[in-house]
Amino acid sequence: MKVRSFIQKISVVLMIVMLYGCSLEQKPYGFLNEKNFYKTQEDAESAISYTYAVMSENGYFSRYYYYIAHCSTEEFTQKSDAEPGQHELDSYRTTDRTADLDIVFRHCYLTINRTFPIIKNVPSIAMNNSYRNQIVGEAHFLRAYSYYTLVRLFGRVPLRSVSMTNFNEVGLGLATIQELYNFIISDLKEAERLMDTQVRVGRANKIAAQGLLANVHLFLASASESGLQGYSFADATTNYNEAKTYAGNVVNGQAQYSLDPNIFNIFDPNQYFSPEHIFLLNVSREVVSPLNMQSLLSTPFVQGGFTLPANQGGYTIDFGWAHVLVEIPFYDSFASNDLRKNTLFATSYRGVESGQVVSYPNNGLSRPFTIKYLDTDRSGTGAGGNKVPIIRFSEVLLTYAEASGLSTEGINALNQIRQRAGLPTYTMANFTGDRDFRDAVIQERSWELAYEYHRLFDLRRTRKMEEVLQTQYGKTLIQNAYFFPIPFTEVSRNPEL
Amino acid sequence: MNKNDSKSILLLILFLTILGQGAFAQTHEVKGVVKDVKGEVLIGVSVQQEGTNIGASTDFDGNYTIKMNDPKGVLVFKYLGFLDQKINVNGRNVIDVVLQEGAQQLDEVVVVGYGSVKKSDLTGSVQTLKAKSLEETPTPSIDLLLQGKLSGVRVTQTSGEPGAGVNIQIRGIGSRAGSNPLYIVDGFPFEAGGNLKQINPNDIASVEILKDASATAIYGSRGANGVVIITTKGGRKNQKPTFSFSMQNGVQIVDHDRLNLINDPLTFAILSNETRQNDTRDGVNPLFVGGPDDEGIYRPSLTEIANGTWPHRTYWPDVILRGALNQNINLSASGGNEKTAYSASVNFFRQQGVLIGNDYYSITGRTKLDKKIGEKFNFNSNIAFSYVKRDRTQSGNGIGRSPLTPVFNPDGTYYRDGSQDFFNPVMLANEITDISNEYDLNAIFTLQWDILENLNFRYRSGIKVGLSVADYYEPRTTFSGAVFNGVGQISNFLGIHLVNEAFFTYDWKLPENHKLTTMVGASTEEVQNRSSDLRGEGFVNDVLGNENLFSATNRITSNSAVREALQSYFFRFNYTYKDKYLFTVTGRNDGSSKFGTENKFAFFPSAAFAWKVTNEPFMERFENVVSDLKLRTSYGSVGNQGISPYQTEERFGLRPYGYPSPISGYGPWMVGNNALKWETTTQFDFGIDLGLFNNRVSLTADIYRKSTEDLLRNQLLPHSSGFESVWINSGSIKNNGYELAINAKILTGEFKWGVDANLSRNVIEIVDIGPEGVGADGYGLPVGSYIESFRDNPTRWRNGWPLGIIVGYRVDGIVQTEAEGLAAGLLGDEALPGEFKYVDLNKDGVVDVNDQTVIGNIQPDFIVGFTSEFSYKNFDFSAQFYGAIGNDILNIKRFEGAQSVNRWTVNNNTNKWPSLRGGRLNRISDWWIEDGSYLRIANVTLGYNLPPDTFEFIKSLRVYLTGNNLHTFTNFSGADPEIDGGVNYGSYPKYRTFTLGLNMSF
Repeated sequence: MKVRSFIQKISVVLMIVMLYGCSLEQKPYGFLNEKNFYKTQEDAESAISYTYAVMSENGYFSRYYYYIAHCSTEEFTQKSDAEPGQHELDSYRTTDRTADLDIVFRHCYLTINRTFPIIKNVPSIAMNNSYRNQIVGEAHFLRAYSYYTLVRLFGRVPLRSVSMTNFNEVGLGLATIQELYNFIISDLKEAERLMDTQVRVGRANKIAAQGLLANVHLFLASASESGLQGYSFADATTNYNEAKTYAGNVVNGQAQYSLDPNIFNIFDPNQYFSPEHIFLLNVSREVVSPLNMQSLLSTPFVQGGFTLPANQGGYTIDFGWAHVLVEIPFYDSFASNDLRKNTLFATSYRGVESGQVVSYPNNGLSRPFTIKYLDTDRSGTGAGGNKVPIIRFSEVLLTYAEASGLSTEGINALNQIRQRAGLPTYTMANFTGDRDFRDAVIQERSWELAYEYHRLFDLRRTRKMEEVLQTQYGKTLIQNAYFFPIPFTEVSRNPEL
Repeated sequence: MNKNDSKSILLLILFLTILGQGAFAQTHEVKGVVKDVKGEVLIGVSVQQEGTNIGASTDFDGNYTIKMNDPKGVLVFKYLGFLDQKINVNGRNVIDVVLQEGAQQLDEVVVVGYGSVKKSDLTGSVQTLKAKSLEETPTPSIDLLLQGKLSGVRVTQTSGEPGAGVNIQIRGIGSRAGSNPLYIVDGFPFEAGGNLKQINPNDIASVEILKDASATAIYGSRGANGVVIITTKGGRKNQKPTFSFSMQNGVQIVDHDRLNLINDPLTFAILSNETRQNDTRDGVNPLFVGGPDDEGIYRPSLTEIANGTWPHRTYWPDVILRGALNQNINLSASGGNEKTAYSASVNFFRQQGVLIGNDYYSITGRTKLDKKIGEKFNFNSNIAFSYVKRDRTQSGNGIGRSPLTPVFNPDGTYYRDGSQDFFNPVMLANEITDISNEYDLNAIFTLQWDILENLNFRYRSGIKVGLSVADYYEPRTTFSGAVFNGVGQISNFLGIHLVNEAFFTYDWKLPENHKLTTMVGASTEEVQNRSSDLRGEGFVNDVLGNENLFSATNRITSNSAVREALQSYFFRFNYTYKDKYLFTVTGRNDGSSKFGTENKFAFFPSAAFAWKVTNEPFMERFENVVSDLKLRTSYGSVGNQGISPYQTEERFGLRPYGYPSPISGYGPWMVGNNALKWETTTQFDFGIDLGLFNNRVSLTADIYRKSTEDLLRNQLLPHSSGFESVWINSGSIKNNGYELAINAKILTGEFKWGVDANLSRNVIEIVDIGPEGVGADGYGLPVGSYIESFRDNPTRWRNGWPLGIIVGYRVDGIVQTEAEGLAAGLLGDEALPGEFKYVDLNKDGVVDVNDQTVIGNIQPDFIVGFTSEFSYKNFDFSAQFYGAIGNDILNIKRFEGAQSVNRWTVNNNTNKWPSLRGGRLNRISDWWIEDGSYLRIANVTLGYNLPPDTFEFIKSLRVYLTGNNLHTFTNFSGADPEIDGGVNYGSYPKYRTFTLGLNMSF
C-alpha cells in the first residue's frame, strides 16, 4: 500500500516535469535553404541577383581585385598605412599568404558556387520560357567570368563544375589551363545560346557573352604567341580568328551598343545609360557598410567633400580615403592633349569646407586622381554605389583591332578610339607588321582602359611584365610576375593539393 | 476535530511529557549564553548532555536552558563550523560558553550539483571560497575576485574598463567551442561568462569550483570546462532581524610611468622627422621643418619647439586619464521565525573609468523567502533583479597623441591635426554616445516535499529574462559621423532562459556501517534570444542624436532569433562504508537541440572513490600529527555543446543587388552538418587532502589528465568548395596538470597569522586539430605574418604542439650595411642598414615564409597565488599576491613611445633596436617576444573591528582600507603583463585602486 502510493506520487511529479519537456527539433529562424527555394520566377531572379552581388563586394571588384589588378601594374601605388597585401602587390613580393590574393580567390569561387543551384534548379521552374533561359544563361556567364579571373590570376586552379554535396568531398586537384579554358568557352557558348539581347542594367546578355568570348580568345591567342607558360595548347591564329569573329559580332552585328562620343559621359556617375556599357555591375546601396569602394579608395580625403570642375560634371563628391594613388610616371605617359588624361583624371578641385581651389602640380594637390569611379550619392549614406564597367564597347573594339592584326579593319578600329581621345590617327605606314601594330593596340588599351582591370592581364598575356614594368618604369619584379601562387589556405585545406 | 483542538492536544502531550520527565528523574538545570570569539551570540547551537539523549539548543539571544539528569555530567556544545566543546558542569547552574571557529571546517557543507555534501565526504575535486574573502574589493563582478585564490583556476582580466569581460579557465583549455566554465547561481545555470555582473558580490555566501569529472559530470553537457557554483546568502530560520550596511569609497589611479610615452615635444618631433626621413616611398618628407605641410597646417621647426616659440605642449595622459572614483553601497536585512526565513538586499555601485567619458553604474537587488508549509512542504522563492548602465568611450586611443597639438582651438572647438584627424580624445569622450542599459530578472522557485522521512523531492522552476537597449550616435565631428553625416543606432536584445527541474533524494535504510544516498532527476531548459538593430545614417543635424532614426536618409534594420533546448536526466549514488570508503557514481543523459537528428543525446558517467585514511585504526598512533588524510580518485566523462544553434542546417545568405530598386538575392552561404554530435572530455583525477596538527596545516594536491575527443571545431573548407567552413567533430586536445593548495595557521594566539598558497601547472597539448590551416578559426585569412596585421591572431594551433604557440621569424641583430643585409637573404628595403636581420633558417638564400618557426608560447608554465593574513586584537591585515610564470607576450608596442629613442641611427649602430622607418612592415619575429612572467600585489587590506558590545545597538562594525593592484614585479616592458590572448595591443590601462570601507550590522 505504502509503496504503491509512493510510486503514484512520484509518477505524478514526473508527469508535471515532463509537461514542460521541450522539443529538441531545430527550426532555423529567418533562414531559407534549398528545400524551400527555387520554386518561382521571383526565386530565380533572387538567385541570380545573389550571384551578381558577390562580384560587387569588397572581396572582389569593389576592393581587393581593384588592388590586385592595379597596384601590381604601373597604374597605382598605395598610401603608406595601407594593408600589407597592397604593399606586397606593389613591390612584387606576393606570397601564397598575401591576403588580397586569398580574398579574391575565395570570392571567385563564391561566385561560381552561387551559380550551381541556378543551373541545376532554375530549368525546372514553371516560368516564362525565354526569361528562364536568360537567367540560366547568366549563371553560365558569371561562372565562366570567375574562372576566367582565376586562370588569369593564378594559372592552374581546381575546376569545380557542380555543387559540393558532402563537405567531406572537398578535395579537388588542379585542372590544366587547357581544361579551364575548355570549360570557360563552353560555358560562354551556352550563355550566348541561352541569353537574349535585351538591355537590363547590371546584368549580362548575349552581346556581353560575345564580348567576353572575344576577350578570352584574344588572351589565348596572344598568350600562346608570346610563349606564356601553359598556353602552348592554344593555336594563336585560330584564336585570333575566333576573337575577331566574336568581337566582330559586337562591333558590327548589333546596334544597341556603340562608342560614346563623349568620353566623360561614360563615367558620368549620373549618366549610366551610355551606349558604351555592354556589362557593368549595378551595385545596391542597401547594405550597412560601403559595399562598393572604388570611389572611396581613389578620391582624396577632403573634409566636407570637394567639387570637381564643370568639364568633369561639376559634381560634389564626399571625401575619399586616398588609399590608392595614381603613379605619376603613368599619368605622364599620356599625351598632353589626350582627352582621357584631361577628362578622366582630376587635377583640381574646390574644397567644400575650405572654399579653396587646389590643383596639381604645385598648388596643394600632390597627385592627380582618377575619376572613373565617382559616386555622387555616397554623401550621407556611406554605402557606395558606383557602377563597375566590366565590358565596354571600346574594349571590344580594341580586341577587334588586335585580333585583326595589321589590316585596314584593325587600323580603322584603333583609329576610332584614338580619334575619340583627340589623338592623331595611324595609317598602315606607321607599322612594320602585326607585332608592331598589336603592341600599339596594347599600348592604347593601357590608356583607354586604365584602372579597368585589364592592364595586368595585357602585360601577362604578351609577356611584357619585365619590358614595361622593369625597363620602362624601373620597378623590381621580385616574384610571381605571371602567375600568383595558389593561396596557402587552399593548398592546406584541399587534400588533393 | 478542528485545528485548535489538535493544537491543544499537542500542547497537552508536550506538557505531560515534560511533567513525566520531571517525575522520574532528578534534574539539574543549567543556563547560559553561547557566543563566538567576537562576542556575537550563536543561535541554534546544539547543547547535549554527553551519553544521554537530553538536549537543547540556543535561542535568538544565544540563551540555552538544559535540564540535566546528573549535575556532574558533561555538556557538549556543537555548532556548524565551530569546534565542539565539552564542559564538566560540576554542579554549576550558569555556564557561558565561547566557541572557537574550527581550524579546518571539516563539517562545512559544500554545495555540489543538485545537492550538498559534508566537506569531509567529498570524493571529487571541489574548492570553496567563502564570502569574507570576496566582499572587500569593489568590483562590478564576482569573477575578478577569484583571481589567484584557487588552484587550477586562471582568471584574466581582459581590460581595465569597468565591466569588461573576465576570462576564466579551469584546468586549461580543452575545446575550440568555448572554454568558459558553466556558472550555476542558486541552482540556475547562467550562460557562460559575461553576465555575472548581475550578481551583487555582497550577496554571495560561497563560491564552489568543481574541477574533476566526478564533480562536474552531473552537469554532463556543459561541465567540460569546469563548473562554478555560486550560492547567495539568505535568512535563517529562528534568526533575529539583522540589518547590515556596508559602504566602500575608492579611487583608481593609473601609473603614468608604465605608459611608455614620449613626454618631451622636441624628442617627439625629432623622432617623427627621422621616421619620415627614412621612409623610402616618394612624397613622404619630414614634418617639423617650420612650414605648412601638404594640407597647409603650419608645422613648427625643431628650433621653434626647442626655444619655446611653439606654444603647444600637451601632456595627453593628464587630459585623458583621471583619478577615477568608485562607490559601493550595500544594504541588507534578514531574519526568520520557526517557519519562515527571509532576506532582502540592494546594492548600488558606480565606477568611473580611468579614461574620461567612461562610466559604469549598477543596481542589483535580491529577495529570498523560505517558508515551511505544513510538516512536509517547504517553499522557497529567490528573486533577483539588476540594472547595469555602461557609458563607453574610445578616448583611450588618444594617449600617444602628438604633444605638439592642443586640445582645443582658440575658438573652443576641438583641435584637429589635419583633415584625417577625427581622434581628438576629448572630442571622442564628449561627442560619441555609446550607452548600454541592461535589465535582468532572475526568479527561482523551489518546492521541497519530504515525501517520506528519508525521501525528499525538489521541484525547481526558474526564469531569467534579460533585456538590453543600447544607444549609439556619432556626430559629424567623428570619422563615421563625417562619412555618413551622423550615424545613429539602437540595439535591442531580449533573452529568455527557462529551467525546470525535479529530483528525488533517497537515503537508503541499510545496516550499520553502510550509507547510501541516491539522487535521481530530470531537467529541461530552453533559451530564446531575440535581437533587433535599428540604424540610421544621414541626419539633418546632430541635435537629436539617435532619438529619431526615421529622420535618417538611410535606414537599416536587422533582426535575429535563436532558440536552443536541452533535455536531461541525471542520477548520483553516494555510498559510504564505515565512514572510511566513499564511492560516488553519477550519470547524466543529455539531449541538445544543437546536434544532428541521430546524435542529440549523449550519456556522461563518472565514478569516484575516496579513502579516509585517518579513520583507519592504524592511523590512531599518528593522531597528533596527521589529523586528516583522505585519498581520492575519479574518472569520468563530460561534454560540451558550446556552438551556435543551427550548425546542422544548410543556411542561405542574403545580399541585395541592383540600383535604384534592388532585388534581395538569396543563395548558398553555410553548409550544414547533420552528423554533428557532442564533444567529450574524459578526465582522470587523483588527489590528497591532508591535515596536520589538528588541521592547523592543511594541504590539497591534485594531479589530473584531461583528454577531449571529437572536438567540436570549425573545419575551414578550401575556397574552391565555395563554402567557408563547417562545424565538425574531429581532433583531440590533452590537458595535463597538477595543483597544490596549502593553508597554514602559523600563529593562533592573540597574534594570529595564517597563510594560503596555491600553485598550478597545466600543459595543453594539441594532439590533433587537422592539418595546419584547416583547424584554425577566424575569417579564413592566412594568419598574419606582420606586426601590422594586428587584427589577425598570431597564435596558432598546431598538431603535436602546446596550445598558444606564436609562429614567426628569428632575428639575429640589426643589419649594419646593405651588403650584410643582401648576404643574409633580405631584399629591397629590408636589406637596408638599420633593418631587422631575419634569419634564413632553411638556408635557401632568401628570407621567406618558409623561414618561420615557433618563437614563443603565451600559456604560462605555472600560475601562483599567495595570501597572508595577520590579526592582532581588533586589527587585521592581509596581503594577496598572484602571478603567472613562464608565458611569452608578443609585444607589438615594443618599438613605440619612449622605447623608440633607442633606435638604430647612422651614429648609433646598435644591434638591438632597428631604425625608425616609416612604411616598414615588421614581420612577426622573436624580437617582439618578451617574457610575460609577473607577480602582482593584488590586494592589501588593513582592517579594524570595533570590540563587541561597545554600542548596544551595533552588532558589529568594521572599517578597512584596501589597496588593489599595488605593484607588479615583471620584466615585461609594456603597460601590463596580464594580457588575455598573449598579444599586447596596448589596451585600456590598468590602475591601482585605494578603497576605504565600512561594514556595519545591527
